Amino acid sequence: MSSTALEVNHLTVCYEKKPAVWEADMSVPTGSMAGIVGPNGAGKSTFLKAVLGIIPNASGNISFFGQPYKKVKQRVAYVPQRESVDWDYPISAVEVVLMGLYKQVGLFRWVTKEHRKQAEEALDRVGMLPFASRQIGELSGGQQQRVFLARALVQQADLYMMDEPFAGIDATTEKVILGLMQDLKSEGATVLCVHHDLPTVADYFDHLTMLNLSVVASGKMNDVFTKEQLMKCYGGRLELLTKLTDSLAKLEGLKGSPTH
Amino acid sequence: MTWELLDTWIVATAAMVAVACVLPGCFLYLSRQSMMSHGIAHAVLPGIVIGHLCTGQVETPALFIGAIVAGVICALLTRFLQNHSGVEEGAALGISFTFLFAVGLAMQRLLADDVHIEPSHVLMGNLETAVFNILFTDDLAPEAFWRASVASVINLLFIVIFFKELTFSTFDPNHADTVEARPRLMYYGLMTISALTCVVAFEAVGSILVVAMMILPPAIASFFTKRLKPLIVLSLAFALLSTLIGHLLSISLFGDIAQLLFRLPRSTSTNTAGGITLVLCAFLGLGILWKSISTRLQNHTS
Repeated sequence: MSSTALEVNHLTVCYEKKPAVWEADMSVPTGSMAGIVGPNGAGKSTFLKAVLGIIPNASGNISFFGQPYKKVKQRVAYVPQRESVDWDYPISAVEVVLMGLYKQVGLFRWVTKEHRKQAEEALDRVGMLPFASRQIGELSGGQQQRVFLARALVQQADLYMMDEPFAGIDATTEKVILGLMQDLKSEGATVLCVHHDLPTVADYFDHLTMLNLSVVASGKMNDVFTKEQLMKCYGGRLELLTKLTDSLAKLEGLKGSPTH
Repeated sequence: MTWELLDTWIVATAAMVAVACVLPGCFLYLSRQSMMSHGIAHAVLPGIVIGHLCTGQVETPALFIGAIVAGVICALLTRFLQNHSGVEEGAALGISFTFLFAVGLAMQRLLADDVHIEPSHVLMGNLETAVFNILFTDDLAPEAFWRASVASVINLLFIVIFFKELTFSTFDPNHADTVEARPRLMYYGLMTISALTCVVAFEAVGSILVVAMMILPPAIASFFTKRLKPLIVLSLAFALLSTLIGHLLSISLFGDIAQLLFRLPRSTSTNTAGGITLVLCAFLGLGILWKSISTRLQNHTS
């Protein structure tokens, strides 16, 4: 297995000719828990989507495990931002998880009992089995996030790319995600997370990329997570921002508490 | 009110059109692209005119191909405008379909002698004249009925075969892309069968009411179920029921169409389509009522 799970060189992404990501370089070592932080509008989600080819990039080289994405699509699982989908869509939690098994089920074939069992096992891993047949709109924010995680889990990928999985969730879900990340790490998988909450960054991840249009710094947590780099990435907004994220995290913890 | 053979065929044809419309309509509705059906229903006009000009016939595959191409162009143009001019999705769609529709109208006007397509029929549809020929021929069923049936079968096949892909792509296209469920292909597939359906729906309900036939049934059904397959089945049921009640309404309330047809040299535009739409709107009202009652009951018990 290649020692780098993801390598990005000179990635530039444009929206209507304005760059959203500029000449970004970074790499994620295999087996690491990697975080991406940066101020709002820094292009974190865009970066993730461009790396996965969901949105076109103006230039850049991207390789997964030393190969182009098209060749290793099945080894990479994507967890989009929770807000990016319509949770009123008339499907159940287990049906969402089954989407992760698409390639296994295949074109012109139906979902079998075996697939359903796999999906249920994944839901069980995130503590969502009792909610398997619930319509997804009836779940709390944290529960929805766990359904998304289960959908990635069934893919049994080597690299998990998550967009803000910790945003607006309850304490239980946070514990579940952290436990899961530990499990994935011990299984040899790599995790790359877009993250918004600076105070928890050092606890959750061992590798960090600071992004603000371009990559400000990328490397081992201890080398990158320094005051100088943070100042460079966030500018004068940093102090205000740390205070804000602190209080916001508390608020969101209250808001996101489970209702079921 | 008298029920004649013509009424049977009007309802049967409208029912088939309804089935054809509802199938893509459900997925357009769920992917929050309801107005795309309205856009495509208008955008297919230049394609139809060109298809017609090329072959000089009204019922020809070229017409459908032209319509499908125009429909897909509408979808592509909408995306292009959205990405490159910075206007929001609704505005982009509004610009692209009105542009294409205007092109179609201009072509019709310029080549009026060669094109036997009535603008008013395109807008309003004309179910009565569409099935009217059955009275004078030995055909088993009116051609409009066959066309709608074929469209229904094509749509049904498309949705049954690509059910997973359509579901995944309309729920979460970004993720669908990463698991290789081909969301873009599904999107254009959906646009293609929508365009095909619009051509068929033209003669029955006209381009203005296509959106009602496509979107209202799933909108109504979503009040009663939160599962996809029941939603599609319920949508079909509501659509079929509305064609029957809508026609009954139109012959009892708006006058006897069969008689009107024979008295007037040129028939008035259909009012069955209007009746169907009104019935669908009434169903929607019932749905809203049902929802508010059921939530109130839930709050009461919990």
